[in-house]
Amino acid sequence: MRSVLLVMAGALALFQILLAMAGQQLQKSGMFVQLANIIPSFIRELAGSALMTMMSFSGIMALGYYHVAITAALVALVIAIGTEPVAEIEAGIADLILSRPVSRLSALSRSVVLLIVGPSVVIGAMVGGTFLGLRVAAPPPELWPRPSMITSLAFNLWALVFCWGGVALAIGSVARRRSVAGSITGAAATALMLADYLSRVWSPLKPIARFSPFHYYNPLNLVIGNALSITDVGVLLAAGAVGIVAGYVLFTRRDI
Amino acid sequence: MSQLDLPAITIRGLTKRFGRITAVKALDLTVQQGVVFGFLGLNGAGKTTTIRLLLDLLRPTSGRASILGHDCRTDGLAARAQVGYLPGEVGLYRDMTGRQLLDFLSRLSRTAVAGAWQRELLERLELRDVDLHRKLREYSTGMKRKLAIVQAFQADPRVLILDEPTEGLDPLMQEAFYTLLVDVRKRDRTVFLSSHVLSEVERVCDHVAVLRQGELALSASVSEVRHLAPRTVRVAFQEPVTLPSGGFDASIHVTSAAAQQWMLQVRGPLGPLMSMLSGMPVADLEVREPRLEDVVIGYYRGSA
Repeated sequence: MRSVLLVMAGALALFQILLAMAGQQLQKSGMFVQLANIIPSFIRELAGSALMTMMSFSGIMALGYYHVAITAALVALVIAIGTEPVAEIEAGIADLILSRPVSRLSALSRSVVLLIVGPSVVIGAMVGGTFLGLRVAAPPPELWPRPSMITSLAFNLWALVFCWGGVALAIGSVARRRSVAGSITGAAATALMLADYLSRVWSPLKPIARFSPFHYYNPLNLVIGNALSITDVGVLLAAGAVGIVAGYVLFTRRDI
Repeated sequence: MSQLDLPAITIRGLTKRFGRITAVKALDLTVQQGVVFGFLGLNGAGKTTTIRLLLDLLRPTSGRASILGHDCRTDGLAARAQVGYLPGEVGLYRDMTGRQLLDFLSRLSRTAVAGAWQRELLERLELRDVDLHRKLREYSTGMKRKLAIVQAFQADPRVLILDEPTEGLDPLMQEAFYTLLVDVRKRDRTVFLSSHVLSEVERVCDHVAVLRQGELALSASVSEVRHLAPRTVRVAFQEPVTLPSGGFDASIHVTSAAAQQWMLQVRGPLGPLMSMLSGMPVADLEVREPRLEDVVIGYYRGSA
């Protein structure tokens, strides 16, 4: 797990550096303006200011924080961490640990700590990579994204990932197999992401979208200059905490 | 009652159901300190389930169990602090080395692992330093088993719970393990082992219990169990003889009676047989002592 975290952190930090360099190139070549000009006006109206903000150096720097592949990778990471206890049960390693004077609470706490520290390391590396990328690419200061935007995006992303970690831990605490727990959590994440996405254009899905953690993660809102919603972050953190508490309760009661 | 007087393991009314299946039914069992106790039964009899209930890996449906006076469920940490466990199937962290695993597990035990004892265990089981520096994914089945034995014994626990301990070990290592058990017993440790190998149980155990379909079918010392089975006697004669007209004593059962050889089963003393044979042209007499297997198989089948 340590090597996975380090590789992810390094890769995403590098990605942010490369984004800065690519963004600087696009900015210098005037590509953003050219792209904006070829977009039909009705699309610009539909998409609103978010689209135009995305097609800027600032928007490019924020891309890593809402790109679906990166979000999926981070969710997959916490699913792997959250299902580690059930993997140890399945492999029989839990027998050697829990046959010793080790409480189930402390055995699970190892995973909880990793659920907090792991994404912090990876997303922290992304933030570090973002600011390092700005120094490397060295665009004019007026183009730099607001530090508050970057940190808000990072914190909102962390809260989303923490939420899914709690869900994975809770499901893993009752499952017999890691593959089952991982599949259920992954399927739920995919379905709820799609539900949230589609609810923006199809209103019957709006009530369901409220149950999606992705509903409480609005990176484009932050990119266009709005403040981080404390309510949204609170909902994500609370959901993650509920998942962790449920995980503890279920794990202490289950048969190993 | 001082801790020295407490039974090592006490099980009272222990029951475990998995849905509609009752794996262990109202089990009552006591294991005194300082004995090697064999826990026998066919596959699916409930042996491993019982062991896992003792270790609080499974939660009982009803009943209680305790280890050295500590309830396995409500005082589980104290109970497990006294235990060294060898699972039937061992799961190991494949990316760890043998040394890393032993150190990791020793940190989880409340008792400090004495380096000299650990080295002795490793030497007896022929696990060298070079083996301990290899990753566990490179270990053979036998090496994993030996390492698992070391992790169970290394903290010198007062109670050892061993599930199929010699599975996967070659004959030399089996001998080394039996010697280890003898030494551990001399140190007043209690061993609770489950095994399918009846000859092994007969060799190392003081007391046995047989589990059949989740219920206790037999619990007695090994010598008591042996005496439940008849002795097999082969009598060879110098010349053809006929069966006695008055028949045989009730303690003697004729298995086969050829003209110059009889195969008999005798329960209890040999006196009645010897009296009957006096005056007959006996050429040879061979007595085979009963084996544990002779009795236990009957309990397995449900015919005893």
